[in-house]
Amino acid sequence: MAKYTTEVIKKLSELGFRDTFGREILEIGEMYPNTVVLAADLSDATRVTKFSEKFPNNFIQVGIAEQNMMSIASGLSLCGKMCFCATFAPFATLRCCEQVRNDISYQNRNVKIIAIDSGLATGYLGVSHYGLEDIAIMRSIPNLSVISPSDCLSLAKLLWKIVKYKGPVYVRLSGGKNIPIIYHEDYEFKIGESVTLSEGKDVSIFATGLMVSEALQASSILKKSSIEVRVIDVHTIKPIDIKTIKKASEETKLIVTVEEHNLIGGLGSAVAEVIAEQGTNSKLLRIGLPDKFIHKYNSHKALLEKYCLTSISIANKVIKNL
Amino acid sequence: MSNSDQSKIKKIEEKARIIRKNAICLAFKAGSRGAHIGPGLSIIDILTTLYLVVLNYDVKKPDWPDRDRFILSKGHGVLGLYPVLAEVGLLPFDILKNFYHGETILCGHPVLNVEFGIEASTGSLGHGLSIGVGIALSAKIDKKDFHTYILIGDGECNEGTIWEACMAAKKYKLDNLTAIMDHNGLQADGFTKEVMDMYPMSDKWKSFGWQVEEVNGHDIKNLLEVFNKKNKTNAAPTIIIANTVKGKGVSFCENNKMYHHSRSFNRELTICALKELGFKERDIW
Repeated sequence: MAKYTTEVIKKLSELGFRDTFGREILEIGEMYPNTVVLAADLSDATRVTKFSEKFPNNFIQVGIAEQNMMSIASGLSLCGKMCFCATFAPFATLRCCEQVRNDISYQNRNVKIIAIDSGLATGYLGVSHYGLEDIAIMRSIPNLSVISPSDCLSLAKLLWKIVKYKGPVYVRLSGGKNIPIIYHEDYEFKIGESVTLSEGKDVSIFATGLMVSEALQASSILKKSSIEVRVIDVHTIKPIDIKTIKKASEETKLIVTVEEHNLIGGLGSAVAEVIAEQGTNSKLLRIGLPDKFIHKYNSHKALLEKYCLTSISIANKVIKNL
Repeated sequence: MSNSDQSKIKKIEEKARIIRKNAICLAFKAGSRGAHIGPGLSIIDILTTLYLVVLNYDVKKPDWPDRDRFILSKGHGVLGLYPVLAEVGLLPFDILKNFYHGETILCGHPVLNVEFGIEASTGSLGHGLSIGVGIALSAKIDKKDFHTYILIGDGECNEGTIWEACMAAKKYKLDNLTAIMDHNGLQADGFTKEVMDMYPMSDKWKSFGWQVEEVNGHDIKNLLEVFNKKNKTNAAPTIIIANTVKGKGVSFCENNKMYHHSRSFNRELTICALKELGFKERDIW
């Protein structure tokens, strides 16, 4: 496995999620000769071009046909291949939902779906390219794990974990470059085990993806008002870390969830399900996208600001709800 | 035609007759819960020929990595598949008899179960050919010689994914892949030509770069000739358009869309059907 020095971590963060995947998949191909990468006319965008040059026999270009890509991956895996299907989040989930359900998950195939630019990352490209329902959809499919890393090291580490697991996984990535660094060299990724990044007795914030960094900054802001915040990185949304949610709901008055996803069916829903079943009385505040289509477009950053998915907005909402 | 060929054909025909009887018993077993009768009966001669002489597999080692693969992409044709798997010894008869009966692993569409000879789960149309492309690609990557056969419906070709798979198979020169079309001309809502006119069918596949064969899907001699013709030299996938009769073998089911999916296969109809196939009431199970 690659060594992640401070310099490497810094470099990966500068490059962003797409390039981190592109770098790691090259080494995975080296280590696991049964790796097959499939592309649906987005090999440059998903950074698998180098893989296709290095392992031409293990690269399948299906053209603009995501449904076909998923079913072909199922067939390849029936013969022992470990497949990676990479495309934009909405195409990987909405376009070929049935293929992911019937051909990959139902048949428990060793297929890893890499969804780039989820959430609002595609900014000006508009709703057709936003991935705002993907967690809800993928979470409801049995056998399929749903993972959403918060930084590039976390992505690199999780990739090396999921190649050891012979089953289907949906990896939800954000876009852009200069991704805030959350983790360092000693970080160990464990599927299904969330990471408590800071301890606090007043509020617990469960966040996923890029929102983990915003939650951490929100906790610093709140600290100035003497509010102690526990920040939890829920990198695995399915299977959800019941134990940590239960503990937080017993120990802190307010539970907050933050996600770049429709409020219906995502991380907030997953946490709400756990809390409701535990029967604890903690209050829940879900922060995410309203259940409305966006009609005014802007940059990723501006959209996050507009929809209150920034540290300041999170901190303000916490204060109002305490 | 040699004597041995003739006896081979006779043997397949006789097996197909027994398999049709068992398919009818499955329809009876399903009874008012309903079964796809017509789409099962139309493919029995093709499947019997495949499993008796064409496919290379080992009943004692169903997961043999070098076995030929068969996938029923038109998954609702299980009445044609399960009795064939049972007849060749891949699927135990006591499990076959549990079809639509209490808790069972045999439902109305195939579910991946290599031990029993089921190579993929299908049911939603337009998936199987793409899965077959994946299997054939894997064989190419690993330089393995096994062949992959995918049976699709003519109505199934309404699905756009069939044509996505069709393009990919041509691109990757999958001469180790054969699609067989159950060309019975009927689908749930009526005549295939009226529901969605896809003709000329052969020309479509030819224009996509496939080698096209046409065959009478109920003529064993004709089927054997076409299966033996497997062309390995032109680096293209093959489709065998098998002209069939929906409901073949039972006069009142033939070309009758009422029996595409029927909930009325009671004892009386079952006896009639079995009689036409040369069986008696006591042969019902």
